[in-house]
Amino acid sequence: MTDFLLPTIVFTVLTAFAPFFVARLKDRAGWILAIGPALFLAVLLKSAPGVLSGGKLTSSVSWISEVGINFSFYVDSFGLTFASLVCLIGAFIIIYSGGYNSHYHYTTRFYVLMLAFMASMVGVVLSDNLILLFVFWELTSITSYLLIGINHEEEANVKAALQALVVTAGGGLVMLMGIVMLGNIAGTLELSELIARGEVIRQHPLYFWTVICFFVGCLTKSAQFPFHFWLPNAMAAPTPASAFIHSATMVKAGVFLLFRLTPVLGGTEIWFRVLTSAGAITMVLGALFSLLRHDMKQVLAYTTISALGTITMLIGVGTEASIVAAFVFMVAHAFYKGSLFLITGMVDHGAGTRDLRQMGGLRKLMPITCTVAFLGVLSLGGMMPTLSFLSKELMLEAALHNHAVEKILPPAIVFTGAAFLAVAIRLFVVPFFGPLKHAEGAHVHEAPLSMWIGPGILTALGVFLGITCAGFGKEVITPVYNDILHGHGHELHFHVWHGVTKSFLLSLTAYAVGVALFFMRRRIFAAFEKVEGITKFGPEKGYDLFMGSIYKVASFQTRIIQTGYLRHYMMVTVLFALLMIGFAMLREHTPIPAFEWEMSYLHEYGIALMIVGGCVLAILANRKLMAIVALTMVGFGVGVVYVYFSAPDLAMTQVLVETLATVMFALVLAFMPPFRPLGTKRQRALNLTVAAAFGTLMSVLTWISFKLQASESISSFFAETSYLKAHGKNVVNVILVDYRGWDTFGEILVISIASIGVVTLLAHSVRTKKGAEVADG
Amino acid sequence: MGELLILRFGARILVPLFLVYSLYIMLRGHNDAGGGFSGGLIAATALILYGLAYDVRSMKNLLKVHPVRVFGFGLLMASSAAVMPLFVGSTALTGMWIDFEFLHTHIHLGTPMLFDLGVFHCVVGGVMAIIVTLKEY
Amino acid sequence: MTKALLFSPVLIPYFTATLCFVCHKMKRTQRVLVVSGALLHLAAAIALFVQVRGHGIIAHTAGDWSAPFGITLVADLLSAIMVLVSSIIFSATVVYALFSIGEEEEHFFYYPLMHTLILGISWAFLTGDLFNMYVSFEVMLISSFILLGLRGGRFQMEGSMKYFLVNLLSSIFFLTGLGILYGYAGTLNMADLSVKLATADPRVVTLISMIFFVAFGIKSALFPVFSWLPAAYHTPPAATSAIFAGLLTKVGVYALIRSYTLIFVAEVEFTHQIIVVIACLTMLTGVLGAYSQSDFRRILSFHIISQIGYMIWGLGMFTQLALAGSIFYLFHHIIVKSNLFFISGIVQNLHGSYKLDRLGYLFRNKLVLSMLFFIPAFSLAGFPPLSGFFAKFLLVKAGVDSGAYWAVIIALFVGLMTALSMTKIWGGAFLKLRNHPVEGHEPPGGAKGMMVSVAILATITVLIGIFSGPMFSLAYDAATQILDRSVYITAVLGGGA
Repeated sequence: MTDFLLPTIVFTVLTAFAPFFVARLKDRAGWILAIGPALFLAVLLKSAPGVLSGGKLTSSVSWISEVGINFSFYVDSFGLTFASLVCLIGAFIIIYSGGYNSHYHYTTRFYVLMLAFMASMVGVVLSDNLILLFVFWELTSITSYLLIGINHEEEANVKAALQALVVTAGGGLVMLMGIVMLGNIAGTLELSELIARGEVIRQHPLYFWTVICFFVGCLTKSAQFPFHFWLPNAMAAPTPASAFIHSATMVKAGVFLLFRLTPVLGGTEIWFRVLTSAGAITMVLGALFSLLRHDMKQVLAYTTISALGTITMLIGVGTEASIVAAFVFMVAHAFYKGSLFLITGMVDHGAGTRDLRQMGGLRKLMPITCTVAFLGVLSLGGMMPTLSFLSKELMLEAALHNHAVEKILPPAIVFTGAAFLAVAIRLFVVPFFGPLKHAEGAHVHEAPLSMWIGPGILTALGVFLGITCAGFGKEVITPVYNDILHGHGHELHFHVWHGVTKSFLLSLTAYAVGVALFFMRRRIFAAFEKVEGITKFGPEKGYDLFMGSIYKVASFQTRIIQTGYLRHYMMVTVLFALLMIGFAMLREHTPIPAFEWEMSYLHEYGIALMIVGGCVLAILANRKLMAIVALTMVGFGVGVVYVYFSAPDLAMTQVLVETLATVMFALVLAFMPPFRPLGTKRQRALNLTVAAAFGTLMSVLTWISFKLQASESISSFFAETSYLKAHGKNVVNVILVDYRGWDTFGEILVISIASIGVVTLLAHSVRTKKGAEVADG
Repeated sequence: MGELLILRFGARILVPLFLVYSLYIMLRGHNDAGGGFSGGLIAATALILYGLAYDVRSMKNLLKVHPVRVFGFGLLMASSAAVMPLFVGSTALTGMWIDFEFLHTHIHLGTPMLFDLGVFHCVVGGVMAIIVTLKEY
Repeated sequence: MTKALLFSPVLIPYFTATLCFVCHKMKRTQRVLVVSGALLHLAAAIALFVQVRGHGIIAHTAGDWSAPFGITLVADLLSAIMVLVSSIIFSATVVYALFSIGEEEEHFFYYPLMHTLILGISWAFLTGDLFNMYVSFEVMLISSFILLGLRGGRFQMEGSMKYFLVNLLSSIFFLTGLGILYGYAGTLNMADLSVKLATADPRVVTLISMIFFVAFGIKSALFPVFSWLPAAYHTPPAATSAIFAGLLTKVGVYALIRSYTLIFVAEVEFTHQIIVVIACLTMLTGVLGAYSQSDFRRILSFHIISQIGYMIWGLGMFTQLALAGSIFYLFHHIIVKSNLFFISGIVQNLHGSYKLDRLGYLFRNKLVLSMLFFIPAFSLAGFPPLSGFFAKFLLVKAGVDSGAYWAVIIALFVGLMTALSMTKIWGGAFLKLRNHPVEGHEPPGGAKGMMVSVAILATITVLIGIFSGPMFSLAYDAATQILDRSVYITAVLGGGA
């Protein structure tokens, strides 16, 4: 694994210096920045022979190993193939971006984000630890979010970016729960160890929910029905980003993980049902919609959704043949779909539009683009001898040989194949043939080398691998297949031509239907226009409803809770206390000692009367002065209590404080607003009830705690040691300045700060008042 | 301002008395009812009385320094009493006492007394600051 | 030596504030004092942390009395962590304030009040005595109240009055609870309480604990008693609201964690179940509140509430891992949240507003600021590999471990909503291309200096994510320590008890 260190460093450094390169080299910066992924690819290819022959590269550094999180990587032939694809396509797309971005705003940010995304994507496919995988997984979501919204002049783009983030990150969060559950079931989060524990995991009672969580994560990421709607909207991203993220790589992270988890979670009823049906529905719907769109990117986006559906479906079927078909299709798709997006970018670049209805006859002016497009649509249409043709054959075989699905899936696959072919013909014929048509004012020109080299090589590879599929199957697909299914020694044989089989006949049918669909396209559009309204009720409507209602609920609850009235807050607070304490008290077995009347002397009644009377008076008072007097009465009453319990210090302090407080009240009396009954009768009655209930509750609580005293108080210690240890006879004072001097230390600070508060707050209002007078004058 | 005459006359006599008494209350605090807190309150009351009889400005003049400084110094004394013991390896606020004979009197001084003096100042300064501001308002 | 170390996080700001009071007219001296005081505090906090991490709990009693009689200060790992993180935030805030606070605030004791605030906060973390904790709460409350109202003005005063009065209610509950508890147990030393209440009637302990739950609950802004927080936090200068946002509620959380692991553990199955329910409600209402707002700081304020829910949730689950998650969450959150408030201040400085519909263009014009916002914002939302992810992961794992799936689902949903409301700010203030800043607003300068604090805190956020392993073991050790009460009790009361 140490081989990877160098390219990683180079990659990071190049990314960090991207602003420098962009500033210096302008459009050609892409060539330099592509060195990072290219170098990584080189190292991957260097280790390929060893890995493909069964040797696995691993490396692990502890991260939070106590909870099973490790910084651990694992390169087997599946991960290697996938990572190589990411780097290969990535390098070409970075080069391409140089040409594409020449007229573009945020070139630097774009490069950095693309490279960051690429690194994260490689991380996803090479991670061994599921949490590490999740980390990279979410990083791809974030970078995708930023890239979709990078053109934030259009608010629609920002909205689309957010939608993509909410769907994929939301799914990711659900998957996180699945990961945690899986980790708890299996006792490990390392994929390489999980593979061996599939049996245990599938038997576990939590298996069902775990697998559901993973479904949500993977299906949202891979834009499967009913979460597919974000992907067409994500086409707001710059075309190279769409090509890379939303077609070739990130959306495949979901199916990648499904591949990986097949030996861990796969092979069960739920796995089969959910994935096959979700995949099949997505496949057919995607194919259908790809026929109906006019924006080239939208068309391609729907074929991507459809292709991802195909892969998901095949993984769900779960037979050996279907897994192989899924993998081959995934590789083929990676080669041609990204390229087709890039070609769209080239056409857009040249003709100034992506709308298929507004272009035509570009063949003469853009011959290279036309050639590359031919190679691309060959694969898209699944024509012989491309790799994609082989994969279609394989999937038909797989579908035909599985009893559970042989009735339903082959027609679906044929329909999808036909639709793909129709789209392929349309994407090739409409822009490049017929009379010349392009956007007004566009200066149609051929794309530069940096733009066509990538798609050219990639599409050519798609054809080349189809021709050499025998060798490719033996060297690459066999070990990958073994690694995915955790099996050994099973060798696969592929041929471009394997005679007139049932599946070949079905392919021919698909071709025929496809051509027919192409020629009937205008009628299809017309028919669709009549029913277009239905599409408004798709899952996207659900998303909008969800977001809208969350906002409504949020505003509603906030209006109720955060009213802005202090009296409500106070009421809620007291009610909360009442509820909590009352709830705890009203349980069974709460010990409430019987009440006994303990007051025996007349003066005790006198003091009580003074305090209670003061309180009542303060409540009933309708003038300020009376309220102040009443409060002072309470204060002095408390002072008398202190005297009675022989605490002369406290009594003295209490009396002094009361005096001072009264003086201060007198000083501010004139400035206070007049007393006004603000509440209605009903409110006041409510207040009274709550206050009375709360007072009663606290009294009972006090009663309980004093009657059932748990242990001896430490007070006696103070009395005993005061003089001996603290050199003071007055216990209260010794407590204040000595035993609990630290409290006093704080309290004097409180006094000081409080006085500062009065100074600052009043000084302020004096000044604002003066200011106001000046302003008035 | 004739009606204030009696008050002013009374204040002339009472304020010094109050101040001396407040010091006495503070100092005896360790053995009898009193202490820095109540002492400070009494002193503050005295100053308020003076302020009511005359006006805030003269009260401020009587105090010589800004009230904020008064409690500032009070806090300084208290925190010194807290910090000093740390330098001899005890915890904060540990009492450090010195006994000595001065003019044939046995003097018993310690950090708790410094602390108490700090409390006294804080109370006086704090109350003064409030009263001065309120009166000026 | 350890004695001086233990007391210095309180005494250093005490001295600094005092000196500032004494020479409050001398501006330059004050600034020097303030910065050196903050740095000294940081140094003391670091030293204390290193000491506690290396050699275990430090406990000393003020005045050298023996434990339950004098007031004990205790620094266990949790306290030391909290003091350290607070100190970091405090230093960052002081630096930030130097560039952003106006003459007027400075004249009205802004800096000494900041010092008394951090004093109260450090004190609350370090004290081992419940009444003493009350005193520290008072110091905090009064300092923060004045800091809130320092600018005068109706808008500020309204917010600070709500803040003050509701918090005063909390103080009243706290004090009442203290009276009742002292009457019942005869002591307020927390270790002593732990010993004495262990043999007391659990029903009565639970009853009394509820008063404290309400008191601390108000402080930490739990559902439904959080209203004071969003009413006040968007009114003061950014430096003030940043330190409030980072630290004030966390003191409440700390008090809850401390009291419900050390003292009120008589009926865990009852009390902590209540805590879990309240925690979930807090998470939900907080994040929904945030989502409904359209003011930079109001969104952030509501988020505090929701995040408090997470921390309390960890306490409610009451397992080692869950508590470690809570502690991890605590320090992660303090740094991230203060930083976001700092950034809001810079944005205000540049555009003259906190309202999202008056902001825009920041992503185009201020790339560095955008990046610095993105880090804490997405850390808060729990995106990996930033600190918030690991905090959430630990809690989610603890939740799954204890089988509380409904709470896990709520927590994850809240995570998504957090991301949503962060993108609301991102979209409103950074991406949107309306309201170009030059129209009518001349930035007063100082933004560059303010960025220093932001950059430091963002770096810490990233580092916590990268070194989440050591951070986790730190949190885990702290959790182990607070769950094993005997260690704490022995350290405070000595071996015999």
